[in-house]
Amino acid sequence: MGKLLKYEFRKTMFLKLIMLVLTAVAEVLFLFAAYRKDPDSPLIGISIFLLVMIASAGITFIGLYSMLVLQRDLNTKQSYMLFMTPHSGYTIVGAKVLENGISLLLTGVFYSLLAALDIYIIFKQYVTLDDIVRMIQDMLRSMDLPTELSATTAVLIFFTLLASWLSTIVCAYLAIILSAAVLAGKRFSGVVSFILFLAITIAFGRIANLILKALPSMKIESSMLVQIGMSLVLSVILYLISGWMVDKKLSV
Amino acid sequence: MLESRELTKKYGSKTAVDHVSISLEPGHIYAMLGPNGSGKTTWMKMAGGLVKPTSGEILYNGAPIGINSKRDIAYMSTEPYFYNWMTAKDVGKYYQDFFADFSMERYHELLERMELTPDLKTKALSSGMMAKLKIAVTMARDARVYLLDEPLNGIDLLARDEIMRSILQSSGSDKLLLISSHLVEELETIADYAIFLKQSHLIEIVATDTLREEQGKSVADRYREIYGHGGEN
Repeated sequence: MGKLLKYEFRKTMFLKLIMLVLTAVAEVLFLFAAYRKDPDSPLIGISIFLLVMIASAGITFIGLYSMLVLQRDLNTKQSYMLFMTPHSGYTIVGAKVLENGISLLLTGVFYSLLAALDIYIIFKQYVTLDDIVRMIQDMLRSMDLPTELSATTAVLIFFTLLASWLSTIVCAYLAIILSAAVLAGKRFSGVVSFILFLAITIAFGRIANLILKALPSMKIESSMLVQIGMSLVLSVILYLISGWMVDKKLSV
Repeated sequence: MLESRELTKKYGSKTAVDHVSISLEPGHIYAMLGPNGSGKTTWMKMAGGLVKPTSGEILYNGAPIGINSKRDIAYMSTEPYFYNWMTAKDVGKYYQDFFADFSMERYHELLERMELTPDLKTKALSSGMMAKLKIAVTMARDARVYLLDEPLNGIDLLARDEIMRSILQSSGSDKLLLISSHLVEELETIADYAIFLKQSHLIEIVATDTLREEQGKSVADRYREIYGHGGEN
């Protein structure tokens, strides 16, 4: 598994390097603007906007790119490199899921730390702590999240989003594998697998809502823990189906 | 050692391999012969664990093809399959990472003999160089079974000699080599058995010595008989 994981990271390295370079450029711009301390300059606003965009797009693209890599690993001759190695379908898909989970986690942690550092710099250079707290509370209110944000809640929000995105990606994996393994060569296989992806995602969203409503009233933190649990359970189920399909049905 | 029983593979309405039963034993070199579309590549891919049979079974030492067989079987596809970002050195490292029987020393020796250097980027290789790289990395494994699909395709005469030499060096009493090629005469010199496939069916498996001694025919003669003059018709 370790060796497979190494090569999965290698396959997505280029995208991460691009993200890192873009982040570095935006961060240098931000630090330069913060250093100049010119209240009339739009530079600080532009650089913050860029950083937020790069971070959001980065996390989205890591997921999307992993789907592209899987698609390529199943539908081009490069698939031989992966499938001639002595590993089961579960290990091969597992390495992909794990690589994606680790990449998302590290990227999320990286951008969270960078955001914390940049907020600290703004606080030191521009505004008072009260302004920052008010700004964050406004943002949370607009997202229907509790405004008195503890560190625990912040971490839970982070993991809820991460687990939800991971389950979406694993669902997309299943759709791609289904398309390559069971529907290969059939007409509209791409459309069928995309419909399956949407159906699973929507069905899971509804089931998750029903479960949350059925449970006795609970604090938002507990609700987030349940959501994380459900996303992870869904990811595991979809992963097991994907692994089985690769082992038993997939021809490359 | 490697056996297919009523092995069939269908792609939609097209049957690539049709109820083929073959039993291959160690200590021999087998030539798998037949025109394009006769089922050679599909049979090999099923033996390599890349393609799943529609029906029938394929067994390695009595067990279905799977993780254990992939440890022992070195499969070389006729198509290029290395990742674009790889150099020849990366290809060797990849095989070393996944196959315990891979020898980096032998790989470098084979690269040198094939006049390739480790820094060559795979995406920049000509088809001949790519074919040589595939052979080098496959034969650098000390595998129990070698499945070589068209190893001589696109290779010049001198390099062909090197490849044949490497193949012969890898043969042994506990090894099984299965080679497919259109170059029948070339394989005739090294193969113990010829397997003839036609239109997805097995026609016959014949010992090359028996063919020569008892029927007074070469493998090329038999090939012409089975497939018609020119072989591809």
